[in-house]
Amino acid sequence: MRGRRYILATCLLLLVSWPATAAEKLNLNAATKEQLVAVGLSESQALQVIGHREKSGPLLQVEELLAVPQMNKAAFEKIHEHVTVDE
Amino acid sequence: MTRLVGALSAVLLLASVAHAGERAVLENVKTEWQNAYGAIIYTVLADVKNVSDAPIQCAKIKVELFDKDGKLVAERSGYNVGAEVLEQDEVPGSVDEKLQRVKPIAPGHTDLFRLSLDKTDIGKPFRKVNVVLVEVK
Repeated sequence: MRGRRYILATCLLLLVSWPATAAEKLNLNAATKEQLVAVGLSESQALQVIGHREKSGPLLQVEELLAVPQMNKAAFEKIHEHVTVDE
Repeated sequence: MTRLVGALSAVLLLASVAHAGERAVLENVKTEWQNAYGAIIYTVLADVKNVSDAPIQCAKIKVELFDKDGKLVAERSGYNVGAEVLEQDEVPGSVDEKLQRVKPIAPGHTDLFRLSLDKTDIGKPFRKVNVVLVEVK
């Protein structure tokens, strides 16, 4: 009986926390090099994003990534659904 | 000029194609971010199609950028390429005189519309882009 309750509670907890976890996106304007690499960019692309941010200010749209040197459409397609520029 | 052009698939943007008295329509609306020698430029491109039976002298188009809460971030308007002389203050002459210099769009034909905004003029993040045909002469 106790075991069943434990399983039920675990399932409920997973169910409640899942949407929030899935919806979390990486903020391109605050991300570290390691986070950018973890989301799918190469190390040099991650450094270029940080350099772009420092030179041109915060990105105004996720699509602005395409104006970052060394960024290509394939890399953009890979990460664009997992990143945001909104605070 | 070293230019990195990023083509944006503007699926949502296409939904905002507008009509002005049904004399013209906007087609193939797309946007792109460009890096021109370090200047970051946001460009809106579209085809202005004359769907009437008479030539069109010019079409004025408004571009609006909205943030995630629907608040207006930036707004700019311009003319189709053949009528860009109308917005050039350095070109002498009244509007009527300038209108005589524009190349009309024949019935069934299209002309390009392009409008660029410097990133520094936008200033804030935005999500939605509205491209509206506001005036056709």
